[in-house]
Amino acid sequence: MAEALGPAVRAHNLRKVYRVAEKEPGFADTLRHFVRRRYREVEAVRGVSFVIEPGEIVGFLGANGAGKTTTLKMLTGLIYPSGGELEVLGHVPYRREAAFLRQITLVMGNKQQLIWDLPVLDSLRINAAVYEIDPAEARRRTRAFAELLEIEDILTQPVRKLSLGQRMKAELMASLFHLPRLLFLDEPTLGLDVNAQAAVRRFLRDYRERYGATILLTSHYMADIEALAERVLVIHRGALLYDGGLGGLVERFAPFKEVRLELAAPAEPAELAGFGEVAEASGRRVRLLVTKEGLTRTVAELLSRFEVRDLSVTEPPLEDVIARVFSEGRV
Amino acid sequence: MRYLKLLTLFWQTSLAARMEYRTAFALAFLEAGLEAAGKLFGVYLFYANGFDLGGWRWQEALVVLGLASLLDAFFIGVFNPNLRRISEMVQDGTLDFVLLKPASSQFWVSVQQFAAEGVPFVLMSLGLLGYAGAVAGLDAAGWLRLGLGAAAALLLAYAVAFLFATTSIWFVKIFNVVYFLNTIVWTGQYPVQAYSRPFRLFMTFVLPVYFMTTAPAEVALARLPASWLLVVFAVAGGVLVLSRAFWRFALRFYASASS
Amino acid sequence: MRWLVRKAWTLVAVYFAYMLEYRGEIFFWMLSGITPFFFMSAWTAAANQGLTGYDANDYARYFFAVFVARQLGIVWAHWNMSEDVRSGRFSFRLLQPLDPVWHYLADHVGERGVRLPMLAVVGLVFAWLYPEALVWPGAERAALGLVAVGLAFGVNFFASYVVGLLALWLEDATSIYNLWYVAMLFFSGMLAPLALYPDPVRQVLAWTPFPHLVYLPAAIWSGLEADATRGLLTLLAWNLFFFTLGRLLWHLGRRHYSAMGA
Repeated sequence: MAEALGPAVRAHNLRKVYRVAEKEPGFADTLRHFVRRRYREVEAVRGVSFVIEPGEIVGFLGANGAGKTTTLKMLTGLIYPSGGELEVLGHVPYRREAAFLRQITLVMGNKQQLIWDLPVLDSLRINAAVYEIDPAEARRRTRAFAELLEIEDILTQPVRKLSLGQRMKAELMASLFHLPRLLFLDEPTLGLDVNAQAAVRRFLRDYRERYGATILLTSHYMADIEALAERVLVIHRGALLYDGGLGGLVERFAPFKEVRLELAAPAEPAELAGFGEVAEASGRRVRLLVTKEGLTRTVAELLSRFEVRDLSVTEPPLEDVIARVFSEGRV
Repeated sequence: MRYLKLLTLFWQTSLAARMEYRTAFALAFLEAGLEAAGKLFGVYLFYANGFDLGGWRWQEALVVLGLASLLDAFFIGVFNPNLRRISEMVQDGTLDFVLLKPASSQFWVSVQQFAAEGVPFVLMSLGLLGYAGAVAGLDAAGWLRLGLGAAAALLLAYAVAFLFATTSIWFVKIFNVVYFLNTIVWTGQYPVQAYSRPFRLFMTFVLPVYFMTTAPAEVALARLPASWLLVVFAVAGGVLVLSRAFWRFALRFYASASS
Repeated sequence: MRWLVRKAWTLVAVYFAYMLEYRGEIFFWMLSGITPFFFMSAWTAAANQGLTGYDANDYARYFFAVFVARQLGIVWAHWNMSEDVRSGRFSFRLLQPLDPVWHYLADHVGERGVRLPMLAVVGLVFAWLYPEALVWPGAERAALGLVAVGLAFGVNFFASYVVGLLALWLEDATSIYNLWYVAMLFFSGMLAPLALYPDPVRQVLAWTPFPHLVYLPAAIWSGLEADATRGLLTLLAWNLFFFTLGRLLWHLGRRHYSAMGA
């Protein structure tokens, strides 16, 4: 299996432009739209470059519509790029050669490939045949995966009877049944409860360790990214904003520390404004974002100015950092 | 007139949604034309081979065909899209929203959608009916009887179809019921007298196709006294009351989808 | 080779199980195919007035054969495909190292496994109602009819596949298939045996696939006159035509789908 020595993914100046039809609401415009359509070009991905080495787990971050899914679909070969170069596992993805398809998988949290009215096992049977996994091996994998995901007892139930969490686990099982080396996961934990999310993460980590797979995943839940990814790519309006470690992301976009205070008496936000950015001020509890350089001085001043019951200094939550990146869109 | 307002709004939005599909709309014209031609051909085959469909003149048989086409158009334009929607709503639980609205839920689910593809079929069937009425030599009173008969037929077809549609509360995927209902209307293309006795009885008493096409045509053509219109309306009203009761009964079993 | 057989067998077996879940639907679907029996009733009434060259038994036999031929030829690949495209499942199909058409074919073959027993039940009811109409046509004719049905299924399937592929360009391609369906309703011999059609109509129709889709097998089974050689060759030609067109559209459509976004 381990033949290709080069990078798992190499994208250079990758672009994708769509043409979309536009229509105003209202009946008159419906008629106009029926006769003559207006189109507009939308540049979904504009010149993205990155390299992913084998065995990496990379988080792919971006607001809705930033171009994450489009990029993933280009990487899997579902859509072909409007420009740029792309090589995945040494193949050109959109040629969709069988040798390439056997080594990758795509999991989409909002779409499903399992056959709705039949038990999970039937979908697995199809996958086993399609990917030419012989029956004994297929049985072995079924057992192993089911055990890891803790879904041994639901494999014989029709998919439509499963809960969302069980369905997602089964979906993962079917998608990874052919032991792909490269996993593309688009919101794999979408809508799952905290337990199920944790189980999915645990499974992905196990899978990576066991088979040395490369993973590229998008998620809206920062916890997923924090738990799995060592490196993140941040995409904003189709362009790559950041490529590097999670820690570096915080350094770069949030040169702040978060100071939490519990005051003896409520303070006016205006009084606090001079010390830093007020993230939260509700009565006696206060959260301030303070620049790292001025941290010691500011804390000393706070302590002398107010009667402080409790004070702690922490890294700001990743969610806040990301939100700042997206709202400011700066590099 | 709140319901009339709702109806206009419903149909305007669904027309707007459907007109996104331009090819489908253009094709529907072609299809409606082809289907009308084919139906005429079907009747023509009998007369060309000397069989008069149970004693009906060619022009008279066309009135029956015209009524059947009108019902067909109603299925394509209004009933089928709504049945599909009901089925979906039961499946994904959005029927909840309808049940919470302060309007008759039966009205809501029956007329919510309107398929633009139905328009060419309606036009074609009205053309056919107009032509048939003209060549059959209808007088003013005849046209009036035809209009009333057609109204009763539509009401009856709706009530029967809704009776079937209601079962979607239990059987989630019943879309093939649509094909079955279309078949019923299909058999109404010819006067019931054309069929042998067991079929005739079946079409009168089991599935009331007789009252949908043959009977209104007979009244319009004065083969039956005008008072028979009352019978047709009574049957339609009866089935309608039944369908309402059945809908209410079925709703008691509606377990809104859990996820 | 071993894997080819295993793939085919697994796909058919799983889709058979899938269709078994839909037995109720399929039953209703079959019921909606009973129109031939109504035509039978009308034409029998005509025959009883001594108007046509066939007698009541001929009609009963013919229209039953029409019903069977039609039931075995039913396809819905266009619907499968546009549903897959609409729901996004088509993307998963593309990511598998297997041409999606095999899924659709297996779906149809598996469904026949559910439909056949139901068809047998209808056959029994028919035999009970019209005992003198049902005559075994002999092994040779039965087999020949089956070949015709098989080829007719092929034409139907590939035509439906072609329409389904159009879903990659058009948002609502399935309505195109309605045209095919309507043409088949009227010109395939479902209305009446082809001999009752006017001559010019018949001559034109002979070149189209329609009369061979239903009339040919039904006529072979029920002993009505049919030019089997010519009919089978015509079917074969149309099979080739739609198959080629389908493969062409598949290659173009894949490109287009990738360009527009999956």
